[in-house]
Amino acid sequence: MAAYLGEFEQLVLLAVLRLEDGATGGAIRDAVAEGSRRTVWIGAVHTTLDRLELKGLVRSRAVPTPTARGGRRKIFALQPAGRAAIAQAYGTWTRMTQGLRPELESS
Amino acid sequence: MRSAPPTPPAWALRLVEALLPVRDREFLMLDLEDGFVARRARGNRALGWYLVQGLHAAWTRRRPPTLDRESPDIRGGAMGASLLADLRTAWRGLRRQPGLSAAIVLSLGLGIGTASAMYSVVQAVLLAPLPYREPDRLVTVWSKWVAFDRTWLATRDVLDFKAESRSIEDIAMWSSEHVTLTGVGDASRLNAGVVTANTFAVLGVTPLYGRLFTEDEARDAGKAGQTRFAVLSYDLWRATFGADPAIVGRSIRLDGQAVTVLGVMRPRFQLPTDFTEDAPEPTTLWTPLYNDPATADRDDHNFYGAARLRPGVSLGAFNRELATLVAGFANGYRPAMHFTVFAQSIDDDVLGGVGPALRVLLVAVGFLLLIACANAAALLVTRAETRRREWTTRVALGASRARLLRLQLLEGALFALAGGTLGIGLAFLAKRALTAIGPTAIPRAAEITVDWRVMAFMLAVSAGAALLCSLAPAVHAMRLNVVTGLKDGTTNTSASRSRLRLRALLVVTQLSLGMLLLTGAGLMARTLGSMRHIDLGFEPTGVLTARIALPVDRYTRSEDVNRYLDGLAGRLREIPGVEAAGLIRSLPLASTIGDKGLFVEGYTSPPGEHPMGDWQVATPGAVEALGEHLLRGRLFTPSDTARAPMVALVNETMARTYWPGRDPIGRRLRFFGRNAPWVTVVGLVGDVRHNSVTGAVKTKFYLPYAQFSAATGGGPLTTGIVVMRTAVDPMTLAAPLRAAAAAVDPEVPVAGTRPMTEVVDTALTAPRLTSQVLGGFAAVALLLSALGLFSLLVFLVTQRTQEIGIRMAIGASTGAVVRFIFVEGMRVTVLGLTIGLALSAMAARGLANLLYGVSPWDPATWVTAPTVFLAVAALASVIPAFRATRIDPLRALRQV
Repeated sequence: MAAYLGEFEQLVLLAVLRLEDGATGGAIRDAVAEGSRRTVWIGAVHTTLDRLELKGLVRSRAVPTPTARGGRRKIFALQPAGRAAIAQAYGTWTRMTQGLRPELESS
Repeated sequence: MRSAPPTPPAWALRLVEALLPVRDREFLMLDLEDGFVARRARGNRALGWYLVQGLHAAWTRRRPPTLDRESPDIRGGAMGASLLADLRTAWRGLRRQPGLSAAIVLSLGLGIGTASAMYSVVQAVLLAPLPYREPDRLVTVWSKWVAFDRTWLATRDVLDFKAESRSIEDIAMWSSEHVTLTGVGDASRLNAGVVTANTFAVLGVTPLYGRLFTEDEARDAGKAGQTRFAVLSYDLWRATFGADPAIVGRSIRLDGQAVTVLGVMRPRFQLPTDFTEDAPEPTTLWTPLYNDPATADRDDHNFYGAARLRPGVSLGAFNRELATLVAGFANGYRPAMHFTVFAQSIDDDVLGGVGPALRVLLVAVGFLLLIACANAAALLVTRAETRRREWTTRVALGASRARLLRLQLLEGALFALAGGTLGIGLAFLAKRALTAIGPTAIPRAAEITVDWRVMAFMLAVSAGAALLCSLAPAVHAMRLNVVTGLKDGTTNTSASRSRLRLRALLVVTQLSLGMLLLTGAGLMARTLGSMRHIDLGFEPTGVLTARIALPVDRYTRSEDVNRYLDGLAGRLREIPGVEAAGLIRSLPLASTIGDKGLFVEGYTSPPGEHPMGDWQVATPGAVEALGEHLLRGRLFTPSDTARAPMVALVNETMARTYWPGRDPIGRRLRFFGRNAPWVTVVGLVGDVRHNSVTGAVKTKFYLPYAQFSAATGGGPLTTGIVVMRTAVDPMTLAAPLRAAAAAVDPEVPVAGTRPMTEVVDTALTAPRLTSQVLGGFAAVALLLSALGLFSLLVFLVTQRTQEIGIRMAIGASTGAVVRFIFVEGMRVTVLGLTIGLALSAMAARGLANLLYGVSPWDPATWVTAPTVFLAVAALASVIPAFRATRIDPLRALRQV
């Protein structure tokens, strides 16, 4: 049984999955904001990522930036447990929406 | 070639960097910057987004600060971040003890709110400059002699001052009259200022539209074949002429005559007398007055005067010059009259008696604010006490004392902010209550608003309050003793004893200031009471009053006026419920009454003096309607017609002055300076307080309206006040009165309908304002000090739980425990009471000029106020005392 995910956690995980190597906090924020069409706070994204990392669903590493200013970016990647959790959430979602498509899309 | 991607400005980067927590700073800065660049590239607003996201992240990414994390921040010097952290700590501290926090906020809000409301009144009434240019160079000029402390100027005097005074640039004069405006809607009765052409220049005002009249135009305006002019007030122009600028140059009808509108004045312009004289109905248009040197006279005291001082000339210098000038024209004045002319600053003139009252109230509200702050401070010390353990732990773990001090100040600021917010609401409410006390009688009451100046004041007061009330606990925070503090949080350490002393000191402050306010309120309440008990000489309850004015173009002859008055009297008597009704020239306490020179048959005046009398004119029924007292003889009857023998009534003072010890009935008098017929006194009436509630009553006689023209040799009197007496609510007569007046002549306007009780109330505004507001302040102050005492004793009981427990364990009775706490409370109370009484004694002298009929050492006040005070303090002490008896000795002992 994979870990249970809250809605915002699901969105963040999907963004990480989608962004592959480019999953910085800022990029994740942009992706979630675009997909969910709501205001997303970078602080909230990081807080969620911290929690996901504690649960062992994502892993972060520091990558030096090539810019003149220097500094390191934090890049996030899915762990196997994270992959399982989001897959399970997706499965739940698909099963629950089966046959409801006309209903959902009309309203 | 592409330019480098734009980045946020350096200040924004630094700000966000300073706010972000160290552990996140590196990544978050880059994340935010990426977002900024992307948004900028898409052409979206990026900087605002950057800052908001940055601030939000700084807030959400702050872990609740714990000691191990907070220290590195301080060493790192990230002031911004730690400030944010402290704010959060302070906020959480506030929420942890909601009851205590609410008490502090309420206390501060009460103080700040009342102070701000009071300030809004003072700002509008005392501080805001009058709507004239350089008002500090503007003075009003008045005559004064034996019978009058302050009365009108004579035309010749004004001309002489203008010609001879070196202190002034110019002097203007004016009077007012009622005119009837027709042709625009219903006929309306307006108060018109009749002003010399230089009045506007002396006051330093210019019109909004059009122009003002010149001296030449003023001179010619009254002459046959010449145009008449008027300047309109802004309010009249808006209300009656639809704010049409094209009114300038057009003709309107005043008293049936064509008058050309020359200009419209700016908003808020009024004559200085409009702020006080008959304030509910200020002059709303101005017509020219010409002071003709050919006819100017030293006896026609009929005009208000205002002068503009030359730059650098003081009021005192002008007054000295006036005295010299008046002495120079002594031939015109009888020395025994002690005639003189004096000037007064326009501010004093406009404010009258309300100024000193407001100043006293402003000081009083300052004390109230201090009490509120002391109360909040005492509560904050309590809070600090309950958190002493937490704080000593913090210090032990490395928190700096400076930081604790800052935390304490931040808490104070948060409290003040909350209190200030509450205060804004209270200020609006209190302001409404204040203006309700004297909507018409406080000069400039309409200008009272809670505006930015009041808000700024409130902000300053809140900041001051925050500093003041967090100071005491903050100083204590600095003195924490880590070792004893950690050893035990509750025992009687020296620190907690000094804290107790500090709290007692704060409570004594509250109690003594509360005592001061209570004494002041007591004295003012006694003043109001004694003013209310003054026999006014008439009975205001159940009387309706209204002004009427006959159009002078149609009522030029005495017979016409008399016919109208008879007709009106007949109609008024028919109204059901009317017990008596009539018309009177001057309403007591609503307008002042002037005097006329007399010949009194058989009376020889001392050399240099001349008999005088205030002249009242009344129709049959008017004196009865007012409820004046007939002492001897009879009042006027319908048979006192123009053709009947001339009759008069006199008041007691007049009878005593001219016929001492003799019966005034049947005596005769006639008017000075004219070939007037003899008038026989037929009735003696009681003295009436006419010009003011507290002023001396002067000699006064009454003539019937019907005989006025014949008795004085002048034209008929065409204005007057309708007075009607009824057993029911007098305002129910308003509609029937208007109907009756319209039935006799629809072109006669009825204005200013109000009950006589309102007239009396208005005359009592200053004492009412002071006593009611001061009473309110005293009640709040008493409540706050009682709460302060109460919480002090509760605190004492918690401090001494062990001691009390031991006493009880070794046999102390309940009574002894109660006595122990109660005596503590009374010790603080008596100290506060003594200081408060000493302060009151000092303040009483300052109050003396506001008092009437009460000595500053009024025994009733000086006994009652401390008694009430002691009773409330005793009540506040008894409850904690009994709470102390519920201490379980076993549990208390276990703590040792």
